[in-house]
Amino acid sequence: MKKVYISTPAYNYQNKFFKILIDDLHESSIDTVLPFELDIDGKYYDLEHILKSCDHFIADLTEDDCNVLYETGLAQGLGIPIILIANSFQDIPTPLSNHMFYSKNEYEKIVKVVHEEVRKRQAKRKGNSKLVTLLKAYQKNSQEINKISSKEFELKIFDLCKIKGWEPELNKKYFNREFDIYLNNYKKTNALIECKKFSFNKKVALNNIIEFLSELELSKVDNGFIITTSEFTQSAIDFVSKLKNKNIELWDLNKLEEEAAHNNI
Amino acid sequence: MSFKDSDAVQYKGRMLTQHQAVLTLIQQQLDNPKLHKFKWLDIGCGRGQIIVNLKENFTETTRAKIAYKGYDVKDEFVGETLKIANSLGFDSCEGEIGTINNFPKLISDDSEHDCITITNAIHEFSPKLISMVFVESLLRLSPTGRLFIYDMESLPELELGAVTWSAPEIQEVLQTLFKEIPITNGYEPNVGKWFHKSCDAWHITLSMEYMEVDKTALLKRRSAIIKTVTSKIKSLLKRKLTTCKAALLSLQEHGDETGTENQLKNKLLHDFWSLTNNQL
Repeated sequence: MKKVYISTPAYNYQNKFFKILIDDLHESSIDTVLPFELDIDGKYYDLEHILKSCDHFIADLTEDDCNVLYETGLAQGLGIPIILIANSFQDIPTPLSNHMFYSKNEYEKIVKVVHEEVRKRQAKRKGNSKLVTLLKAYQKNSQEINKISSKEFELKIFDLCKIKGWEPELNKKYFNREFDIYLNNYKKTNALIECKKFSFNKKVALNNIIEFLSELELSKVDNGFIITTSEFTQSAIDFVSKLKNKNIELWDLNKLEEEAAHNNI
Repeated sequence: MSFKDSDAVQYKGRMLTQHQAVLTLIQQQLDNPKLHKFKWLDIGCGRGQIIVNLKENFTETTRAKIAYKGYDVKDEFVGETLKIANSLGFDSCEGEIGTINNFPKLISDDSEHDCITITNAIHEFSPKLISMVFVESLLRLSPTGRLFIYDMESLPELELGAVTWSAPEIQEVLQTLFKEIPITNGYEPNVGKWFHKSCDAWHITLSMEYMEVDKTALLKRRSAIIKTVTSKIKSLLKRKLTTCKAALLSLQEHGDETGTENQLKNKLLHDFWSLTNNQL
């Protein structure tokens, strides 16, 4: 989802300029994040996390508002593309003085820049997020795998399952136990997926398989996958091959890379 | 076999997280201003490890509400526990010495406890007695009473004869128990998983209030429930043995490649002995 953060004093969101801007962005399927909507009953919200999820940041510096300045500084620090709205050069903080700025009269230009920046950011994200690219880079440099979290790895596998038509569900609960990914349509039945984002020097061992087998038994599901960025021990592979009532597929780094490349993910 | 020879440990000044969890649970009940007496049965009390640091956790007034009963197989353990209990200003303290198979005889099913705790003891019980312990404990709870059970999935120091259970296995036992009672109001307590440095563990808390179960009906169905749950445990034991054998064969053929597999091998060897000797 394309997302733009609009930073302006709360009373400004009802102004004609912002009302039109927000409507226009929504019409173009661009979601807007408005800080006053986040501050519910003074409860803490993770601004850094929210900003990281945004493709662009619009800073209204016309009012010299401390919250806007703080949010703008944080967005700049996080590398989020910023567009500045100001009455004159005097409104711009010194560290941002090399940024282009626009006045509220230049509405068309602002909208054009926002669309262009969002498009660029989305393209960049898509390119960076290819699983196969990441895995290839990881083969060359083991540190590359640290660029994504375990949760993000689960999401990549989830996307792969979607492409394969397995109708995945993330973090499905069964009797209060949570599975990484639950497949609703694998060989006309269900399956569980356990994701293990391990580094090269950590193999998925027999312990992990036995633990996963307990989860399959509890959930009364016969098929399962353990997908890793590492390898499996020989004992783990042997144990799985001899299972009679359960079918567990083991995907190591090579198999995962092959699947990611084949499905262009 | 029941309440096997365990090495109960007691750490004065150091509270284990599972014991802290018990105290937190009890605290919630004790905070009720309308409650003047709190009946607590501590099964497998050992050397009094749960209560040893109680003075630092509960005020004198709170402790004065507690009617404590420690139950263990070893008289020296019960003696030690009572010595601690007597110094805490409880409403009353009692000790019960006996094996777990005598639980139904030693603790009357007329009794109504506000809390029954069983920490680090299930692996000591013969698997054939586990369903009895679950059902008989429920029968000895007050209408608002709670049963707290905690145990390790694998023992940091392996004990020959001990049968450990994993969180999903206990969840399966619980499913069978609830289906058989039956609990139909949607209450599905979670078997929680604990990650310690030296081992993983599980716990459950069953609330009589949430179960909404008629005690008279439960009494009538007691034998049938125990029988069905035991049958489930029997099938689990069989499955555990099959898995254990297969895993040992794989390790024998390919060797252990990681530290965890090395630990697993030792555990499986112990499990193989215990499971072979405890099949029902």
